[in-house]
Amino acid sequence: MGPVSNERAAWIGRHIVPHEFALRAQLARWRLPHDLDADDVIQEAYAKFATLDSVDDIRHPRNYLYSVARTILLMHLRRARVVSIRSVDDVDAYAMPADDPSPEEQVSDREQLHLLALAVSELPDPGRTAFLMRMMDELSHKEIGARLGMSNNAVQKSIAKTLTLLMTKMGRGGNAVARASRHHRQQQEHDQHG
Amino acid sequence: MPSRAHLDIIGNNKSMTSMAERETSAEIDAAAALWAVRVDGDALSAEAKGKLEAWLAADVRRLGAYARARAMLVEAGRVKALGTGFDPAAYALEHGVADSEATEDWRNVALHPTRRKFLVAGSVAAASAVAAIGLSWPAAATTYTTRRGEIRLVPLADGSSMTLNTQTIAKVLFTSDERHIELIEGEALFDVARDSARPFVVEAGASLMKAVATSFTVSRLPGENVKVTVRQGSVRLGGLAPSQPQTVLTANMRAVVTPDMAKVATGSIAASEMNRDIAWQQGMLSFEDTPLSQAAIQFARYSDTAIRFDDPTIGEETITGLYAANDPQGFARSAALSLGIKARAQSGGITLGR
Repeated sequence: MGPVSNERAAWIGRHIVPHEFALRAQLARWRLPHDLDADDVIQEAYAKFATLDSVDDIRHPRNYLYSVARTILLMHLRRARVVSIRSVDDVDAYAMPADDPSPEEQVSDREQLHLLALAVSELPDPGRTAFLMRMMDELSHKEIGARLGMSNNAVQKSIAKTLTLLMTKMGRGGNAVARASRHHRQQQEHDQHG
Repeated sequence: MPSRAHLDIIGNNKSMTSMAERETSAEIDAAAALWAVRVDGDALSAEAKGKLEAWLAADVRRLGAYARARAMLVEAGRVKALGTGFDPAAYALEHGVADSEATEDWRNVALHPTRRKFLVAGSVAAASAVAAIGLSWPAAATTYTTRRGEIRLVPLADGSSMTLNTQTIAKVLFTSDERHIELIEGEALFDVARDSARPFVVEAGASLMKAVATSFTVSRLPGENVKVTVRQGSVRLGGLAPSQPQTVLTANMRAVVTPDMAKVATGSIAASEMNRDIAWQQGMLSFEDTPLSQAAIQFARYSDTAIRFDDPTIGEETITGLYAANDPQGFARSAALSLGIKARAQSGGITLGR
């Protein structure tokens, strides 16, 4: 099974991934230092959930996720000594939600499934076909390859690419491709004129 | 709330990769996705397992990306719940937002679609898949209250969020037509997600604020005028009746409104002052040449521990700095140190004296 068991992956998918979008918004408001970006914090936060011995005692995964992200940020700030505050308990330096999300705040199971269905339906082909063959029909990579005339390797690469697109939509709530290419263009313009 | 002992953070291995060629998170995500797909396929050979472990060991972010990709893959398996009749094309046609201008807010638009007629009847199976995943609008208003000293982030269902400061009461009602929040008392920061179908409206006393993908604070403190400060985007400020005159506030502007909307005074705010005003959001208070007496009033909003002065001249001394809002003792000690005075604990408070 390796470093991340199926059970742990399933738990993270159900209890952490749906909150990634809101966490990104919060990270944007916390105004990260210039050498630390939201993606780094998020990846490190996920790593934390992967290494925990047990997740059974976590009653409020969303709050725990925010705690972890905040602690990562504070550790980074402390190392960089960007913030020098006297007589401050660092743990209280960043605002935290005190209670459970209300029914209104939660994205319901149904809504999450709807987002998934929509994200999948908006995936481009040919990638989507291979993806659905694996996810929906549970064909092996070899069987998919045989049906689509692709090597095992090519099937895996295709599904991985589709998975990345899906993660972007679900985790970032938007079209990161559009954003990324805009950023790239801005960067190019800056380099030309800067 | 997990105790501090729980939050042992994995050592950061960033130092192991050279700074000049530090992997981007996008590169890591792509590699992690491929590993997750491989693990989902045939069992990995011992050699492949070794490669995976070595790859993960070099950067803690890789483990995170891998866990996320594995999790997403398992989640994606839930498409099975849509049934074998699931027709992606038909689903996209009925619910799709890909061609909407709001590509940045795909998720928000997806969760709260504008009302539209069914364009295509689609197959019976597709229709039943749609019916099975109906969306329901929250019906009842929810009231959020913070205690003294409590600062609370409230994520809202549309992707917006509301951060409540100390001693604040806010009532939220999202319907299919409007996202409505009533600030009954206190101070809140609103970060508004774009939703072209539903205006985001904050009501405070006689004032109504309409916002579009913006960030602004509203304060309605007892004995004070309502204050609206816009950080980003724009807010249309008016009265409760649509016929009343409206003022548009843009970034770095503040309006102070008398209780009956008789007078609306607007002005611009320097970025530094804006940042000071927002420090509470991170549980901090920021002072710049602020008289101690005013600082004491601010601290009183966040805790029961009063800061008092032996004589009024001490209250007139000024202080500059960033302090934790829930630590008046720390503030008093720090102020005493920098002003060369003494701080002593006294009957539920701290007294500053010479």
